[in-house]
Amino acid sequence: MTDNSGKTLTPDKPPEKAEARPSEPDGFSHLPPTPMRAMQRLGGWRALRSMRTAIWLLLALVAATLLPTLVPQELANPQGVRDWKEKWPAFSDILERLHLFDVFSAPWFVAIYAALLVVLVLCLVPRTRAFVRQVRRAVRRPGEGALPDVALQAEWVTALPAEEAARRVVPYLRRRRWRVGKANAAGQCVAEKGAAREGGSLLFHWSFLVLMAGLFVSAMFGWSGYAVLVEGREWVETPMSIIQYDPPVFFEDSAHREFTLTLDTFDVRYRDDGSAADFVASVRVADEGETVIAKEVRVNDPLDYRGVKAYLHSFGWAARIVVTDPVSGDEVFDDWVILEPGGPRNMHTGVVKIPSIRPQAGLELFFAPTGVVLTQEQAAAFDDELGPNVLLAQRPGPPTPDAPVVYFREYRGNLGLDRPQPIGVLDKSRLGDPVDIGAVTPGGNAFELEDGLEVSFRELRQYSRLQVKRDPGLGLVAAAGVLLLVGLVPSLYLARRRLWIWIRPDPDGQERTVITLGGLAYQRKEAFNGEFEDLRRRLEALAPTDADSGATPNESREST
Amino acid sequence: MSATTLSKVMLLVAWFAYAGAATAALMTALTKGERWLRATFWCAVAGLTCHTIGLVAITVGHGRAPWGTLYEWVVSVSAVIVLIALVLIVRRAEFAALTAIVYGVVVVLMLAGASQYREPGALQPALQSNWLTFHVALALTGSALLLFGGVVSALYLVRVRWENRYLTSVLGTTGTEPPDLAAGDEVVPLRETDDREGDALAGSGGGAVALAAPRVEVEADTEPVPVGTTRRGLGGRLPTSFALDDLARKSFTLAFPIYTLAILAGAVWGEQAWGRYWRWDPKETTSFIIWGLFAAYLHARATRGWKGTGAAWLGVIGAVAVVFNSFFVNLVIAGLHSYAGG
Repeated sequence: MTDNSGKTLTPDKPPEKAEARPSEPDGFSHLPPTPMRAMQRLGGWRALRSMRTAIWLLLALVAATLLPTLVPQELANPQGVRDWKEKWPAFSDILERLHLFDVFSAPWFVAIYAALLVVLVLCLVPRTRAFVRQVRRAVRRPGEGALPDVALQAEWVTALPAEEAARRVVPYLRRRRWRVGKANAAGQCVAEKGAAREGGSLLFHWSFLVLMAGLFVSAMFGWSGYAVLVEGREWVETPMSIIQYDPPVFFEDSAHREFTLTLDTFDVRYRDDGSAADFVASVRVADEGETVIAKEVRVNDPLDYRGVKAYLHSFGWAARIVVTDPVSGDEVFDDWVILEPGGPRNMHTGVVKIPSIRPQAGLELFFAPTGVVLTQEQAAAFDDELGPNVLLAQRPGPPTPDAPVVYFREYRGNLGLDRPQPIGVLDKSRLGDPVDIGAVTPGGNAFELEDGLEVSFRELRQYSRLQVKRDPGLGLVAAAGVLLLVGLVPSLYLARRRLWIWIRPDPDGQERTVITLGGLAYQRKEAFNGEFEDLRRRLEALAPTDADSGATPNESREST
Repeated sequence: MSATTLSKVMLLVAWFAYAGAATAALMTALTKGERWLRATFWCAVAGLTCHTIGLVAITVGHGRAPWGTLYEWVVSVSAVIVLIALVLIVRRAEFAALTAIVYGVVVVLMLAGASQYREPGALQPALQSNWLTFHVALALTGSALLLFGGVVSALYLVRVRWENRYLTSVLGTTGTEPPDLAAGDEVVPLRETDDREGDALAGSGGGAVALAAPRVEVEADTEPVPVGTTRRGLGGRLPTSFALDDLARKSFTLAFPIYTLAILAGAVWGEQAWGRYWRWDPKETTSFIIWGLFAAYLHARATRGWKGTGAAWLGVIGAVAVVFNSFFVNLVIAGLHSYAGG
């Protein structure tokens, strides 16, 4: 700032100096410090709360966030993580230790954003206090002195007496929402406008703390998971029935109302290429025996019941498979099997696990809604796990159930249920090779396997998988988003402006008054040039120039 | 002629018109000819007209907004960039040299987009949402403004280098006035006076006052620099660093709230469609990076040691991230946004 030394105006007084005489009124030419200056004035912690620290932390956060675009993440792309671990085990081990497969919950990532939040709060608290003080307190009466050497200045002489001129000028400025301070004995006063810039900036920055609060509440009290609903069947909202349940940290016991969801119908409209054009799930919610909601759930239109939301996630076919053990005559399995699309030959796959018989039995189902019979060459051409001897495939196009058929393979042995495993996956490590194969159609005859088990396909229905969750922090997060935008716009587009007004009797005597205006915008200086010129014109109209006096120049100069 | 063919033909014509505009803008910079300036303007107008017809053809032909595939997205972003350049040149003719580079970038961008051409299809049910249309339209405008600002920032860096080298050698001081100096002219080193810490997010640097600038009197015996000499180079033909910095600031401050709103609208849509407003999928992650870079830019502008070249570098890196987000993320990395890449 050596450039400014020797000038009459020193806009950035050293903080110590400014603090040394707080009671003394500032001179007329005094420029109040910018909010950042005010912040630093409070001393201490300087390095930590400086903008430079914040920028470096923000850039560190950005750099850390870059990593997940290069390394697959456990959360978003678990398959990618498995692939990496298979391909480069040693390298992946290092990545794992550095938490690079789960960057967003890595301790070092949390440390960066926690540090950023600390710096943010350290900056915001003094700034907010200064802002509140500034807004609540009237604009100071300035000490007497010369007009500061600001770029925008205007001066004219009016025939009105000084008091009358002030009575016209000041209320007009107030109407234009300038905060006008009291005048000193010399008739000097200052006016300020544009505090909303700093207010908006503060709102923008505080909104991140609101956001963090929302995320915290969600993590502590929210839960999520999936519900699989088969047409015509009920599903009860309990932790047990939620698949991939992510429980709340607190109050898990009281987090569920245990209401009932029923999928009445599920309608899909397909395009010719087999992709879904539209799908709707008609769902009923019953609580304590009474139907409370009946709603058509669509992709962008979730169900919402008492804070629990259900989003249409995916859909497909479910087969009611019954397996009978002829020795005991018992039905050892009778349930709806979810058939997931994406199997070989466009087929849908599902799994039946029968742990109650010895040895345990497992069925691997391949479902074709419209099965077509292949030649051996065609089957061989697929070159998939089914092999050339399975002459079944799903017809290309929409998976409508025109000729539904389930082909299955039977395994006997140990299902490995002593270890946790996903519902739709068969752990074949202790099952060995399939012992038998078979095929069933809905409502058709039971298929008798060589070991005596009889498998029948009772019914085909559609299922719908809903993502269910309770996210109590969502309101806070949404509020943060709104506050962020509401604060951002004024903080970028408004400017803090200051006017110096000096209304005094003409020193040359007579009944005339000299009015001097000075103007300064802290930001958006170009736009203020026009505003100042307009203001001058309007004020001059209110306190018109004395036509008789050609002596005092009517000056309005602009320079940069 | 089908809508798809019409759009292809129109976009091809637009591409050639932009190539013409880039050339004409370059000639404007070299010759300072009024005629070339007019040629630049009308080439760009003709290009944008065809461009718009092409985009409308896609919209009408498929009954949806023209950003279903990566190709369409890039073409739409290009249209917004051209619109920005046109608005700029109408208001400030001295930026003609700069628009040469902007049109050049558009030509490359459209070519890169065309290399990823896919036959457009209908949208998945999840993509049929008003929030999504809003989200993409904002992301598109924001990206275009950020790219534009990034180009300006890059040119600012070129210009600052030139000013530091050239003006130091001529004047023995670091100044930033336009080089056509006549004896007795005042040179105001604006970057020096602006070097003050301002408040957070203070776009213009928040410097208290630029009024106490020391005014350097150019020595009467300093040779005025003739126009078009080799000493000027690219840097010498560009607008002053102050003007470029101001232009970059304007595009970034305009882009930032738009991009922020785009991210928020995307989150609202994600909440409705997937049940998660944010899940760190690659597109979201890159958007966050871009947002963070430009947030850093806006703060850097108001921070000593960062303003000027430091901030401009952040702007350039941010613009590179925008390109990365459009191409690399769509093509290479899978995620929930992968259908945007088609």
